[in-house]
Amino acid sequence: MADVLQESKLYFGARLADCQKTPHLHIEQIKVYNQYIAILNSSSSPADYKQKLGSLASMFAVARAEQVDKYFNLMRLYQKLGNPDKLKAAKDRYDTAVKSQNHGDLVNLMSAAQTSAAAIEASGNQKLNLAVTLIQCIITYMTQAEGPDKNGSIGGILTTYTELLKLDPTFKWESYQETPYAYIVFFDAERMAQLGEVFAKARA
Amino acid sequence: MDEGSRGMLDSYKSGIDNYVKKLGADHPKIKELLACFKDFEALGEKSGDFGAFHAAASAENFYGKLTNLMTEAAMAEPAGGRAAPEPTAAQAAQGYHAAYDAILPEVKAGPTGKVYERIFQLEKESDSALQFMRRLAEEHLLVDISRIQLIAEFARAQQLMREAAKFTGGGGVSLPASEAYFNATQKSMNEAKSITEVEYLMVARAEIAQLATLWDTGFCNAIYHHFASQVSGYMLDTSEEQRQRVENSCRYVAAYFGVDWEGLHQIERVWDFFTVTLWGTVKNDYAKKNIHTPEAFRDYLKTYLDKAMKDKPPLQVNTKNKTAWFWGKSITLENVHQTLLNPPDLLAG
Repeated sequence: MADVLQESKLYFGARLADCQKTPHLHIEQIKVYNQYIAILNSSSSPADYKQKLGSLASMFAVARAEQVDKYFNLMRLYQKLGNPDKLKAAKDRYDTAVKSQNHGDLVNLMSAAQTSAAAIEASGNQKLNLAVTLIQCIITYMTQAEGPDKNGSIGGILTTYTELLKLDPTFKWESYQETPYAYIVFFDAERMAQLGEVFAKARA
Repeated sequence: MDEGSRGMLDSYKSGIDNYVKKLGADHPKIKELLACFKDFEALGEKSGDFGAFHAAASAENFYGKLTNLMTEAAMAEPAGGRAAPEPTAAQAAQGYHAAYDAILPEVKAGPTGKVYERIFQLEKESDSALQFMRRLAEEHLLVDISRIQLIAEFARAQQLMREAAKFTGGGGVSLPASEAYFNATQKSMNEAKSITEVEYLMVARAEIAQLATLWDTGFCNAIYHHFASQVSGYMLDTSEEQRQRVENSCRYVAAYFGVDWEGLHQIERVWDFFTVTLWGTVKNDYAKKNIHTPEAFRDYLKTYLDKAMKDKPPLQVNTKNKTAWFWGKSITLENVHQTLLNPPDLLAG
């Protein structure tokens, strides 16, 4: 028969040691593993351990901590990358994980949150794609031959801009200086300002 | 009953079965648990779909009730004072055997197969489920299953990208941002010590690569693809409109990037695309015209540019613009390719 207390201590100790290598990524899991270890240390026998574990016996606390850490890490990532859409999607899932009370909650609420988060993320990606396209449309307009094609290429600018506004009603030329749009900009402020003038003229 | 509802019920049933094995079907806690599950299943049967089932189950607090009953079953002792049979290593390893059986033979033959072999070795050596799980944790095998296969997949994808020309029979892939992504992800996976870390780094590396790829797409279009496609167009369409497009594109590149035709092709990022993708795609066709090197092809294209610019005012090359803006910093055009291969780590700090 296995030495339940000793094996459990070693198991939780090993998981805790892995988490502690990058503690900032495992905040909740570290708390939970420490909780198990504290119970083990205060238990005199396997029966005593089982009794003291109470609701922790189902290991739900570990499953929730993993999800809470996962989405907290993503929130920090999107905060750092300055992406409000993806930050919101991660926060929705983080809140869902924090609220869940049991395995069923966790699985089912998380799948519902995943679906809505996927839509928010897709829209965030589309905004960036359109922001790239808008710059290309302006370059096409600038280099177009005089005549009907030049006027036609204004249509490309306006259509892309309208699509972008639908996804981000706050978008303006200056948004290229802010994240996440700033990450796709390859011209410095002076050249972006020149392009901005062309954009303004095309919209007029 | 729809698939989602059946899946959820099966998942609960499989958890409950473990307690039935442990305590016996006649145990009071098991009777209570099975009765609750029966009601839960009946609710699933009468609900139209998974959404309705989930809503009704939440409203009636089935998830809470089942979890509480399962926790009580986990803590209960078998009736009559008999000791609960201790879960065996074989029971704990069932899921790993099922997963191993489902993977492809070539994956079994690779590093992932070796991880599974080690898991099955530990299964044989362990006296109990608890000991088996402890040894998996101590040897990081739980995380190795995720990361080792990912490393292999990323290495394979990177190799395929590098050898793309073999498969296309011509043009290769010029994507330094993807090369950087594959390198960074493999390095991250090699260092990861937990599934949380693997999951986080996978997303983080992909997000950063997406930004770098979008930047590169915009940059390459703006500095080269747009201009080159107008010159190529002029080879077929010698109208005044097309000539104007070539001239305007040439003047725009000179003004906004500070380079003429020669300077443009000296930029490593441009030359990589030109030699790997563009020249790779057209070289067989141009061999018939006695053009056998990318340099000769570049010069051949230039003859059309010269034709479009003939008798036009000289080009104004604004050399102070020989830079690009990359993630908050000014870099020289010559450094763009290397910067994409070794981008600043946005995760640092």
